[in-house]
Amino acid sequence: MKCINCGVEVDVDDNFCYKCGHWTANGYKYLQDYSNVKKIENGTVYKHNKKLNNLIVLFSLGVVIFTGMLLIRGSDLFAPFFYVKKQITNLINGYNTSIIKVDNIYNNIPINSYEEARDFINKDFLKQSILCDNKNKLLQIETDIENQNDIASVTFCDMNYDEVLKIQEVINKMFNLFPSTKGALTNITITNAASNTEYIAYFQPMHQFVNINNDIKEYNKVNKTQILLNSYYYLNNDLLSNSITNVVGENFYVKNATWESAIAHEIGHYITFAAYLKEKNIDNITYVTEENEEKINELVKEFDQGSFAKNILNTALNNYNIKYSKNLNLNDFAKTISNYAATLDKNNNLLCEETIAEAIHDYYLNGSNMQNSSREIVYTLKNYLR
Amino acid sequence: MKKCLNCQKEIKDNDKYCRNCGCLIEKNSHYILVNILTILVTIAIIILIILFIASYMLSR
Repeated sequence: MKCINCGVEVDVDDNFCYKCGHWTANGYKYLQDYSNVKKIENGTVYKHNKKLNNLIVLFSLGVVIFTGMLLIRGSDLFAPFFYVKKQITNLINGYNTSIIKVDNIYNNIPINSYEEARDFINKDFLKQSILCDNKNKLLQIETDIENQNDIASVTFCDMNYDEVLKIQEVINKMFNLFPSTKGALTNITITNAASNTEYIAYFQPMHQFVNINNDIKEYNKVNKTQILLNSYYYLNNDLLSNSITNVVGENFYVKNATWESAIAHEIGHYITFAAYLKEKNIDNITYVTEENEEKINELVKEFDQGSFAKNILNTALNNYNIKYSKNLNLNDFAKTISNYAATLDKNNNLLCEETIAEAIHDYYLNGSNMQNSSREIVYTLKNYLR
Repeated sequence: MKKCLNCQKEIKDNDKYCRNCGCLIEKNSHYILVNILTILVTIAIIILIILFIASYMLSR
């Protein structure tokens, strides 16, 4: 007997063609009996075909749900993944770490103005900040600090809100004390130091950021002048809830030093740098062009050598000795401020920039009750900033 | 001799359809795959819903 559909030879008692599945004459009679139809429909394959249909419907539903959720939440939809990843990293390290990286490097980016340079710095951190836990709450504070103090980017990702409020006070007060220094600082950022105890906070006058591997004739470059907060301290309330002297020791910093005022010390470094730039008739080192590249590199190199800081100290020391009828040398002068102010380098030379930063720290914390030595340093510095 | 998964009647090696019930003869792996995919897609949808709710909680 042949199949009426495809013509292949089939057996007489076959109900269906084995090749095309069409019913045969015998199969026609078989299907007249409804109980046979029910038997087929109750078979495993038919049930499985229903499962396949369900799978297709489920998958389509999944796509629709995912698309809808993505439209509603945007990139925030994936925030829990990054939160869990962060928690796992913190668990492995044994302390909270920051997701913000300050050492991203970009090449082949067209930057054609100072405003574009600052905008790029801001966008680099903004892009990373979408993964922060409490970004909505901190965003207003960060934006206020940026606008009030002319800083391109302020990022306190994952920091405690109350702690951030205290730091906001420090920053605002410092720039109120030294208003003419605004504009050269590009960012204040919470990040991970190379090691836990490398620094509490750190001022970096120049970090080459954009187009560092490009020819200056083809691409302008961007530098960051930044203050970094070590996440090991500022993201870990176990440490922050104790006095800073528990970490650095008694009498290391000036009297009354706190975790927040340590940032005033770093801003002190920045203020020294700002005074130096003003002395050299340059507003900032952020936007680097063919015209100013060499000058900027030389300036920063000279600043790092410390002669500017030493000049300030020598002037202040001279004024101090005259005013108070003393005959102190630089080291003794520095010791009147704090132990940190009297830090020596490996060649036993005074680290003058630390002395100045501590003097400013003293000025911030103690105002008119600061040490006389701090007062002379601050007066000298302010003369440079006129 | 293989049996049809639907009606358990014997099928020959070269048969594409069961001669008794007319069902398309598939490999076992096909059915296993559908079962696994169904479970995976269901889990994925549940995860999506949890993700959606968690993203709101984190943004507070």
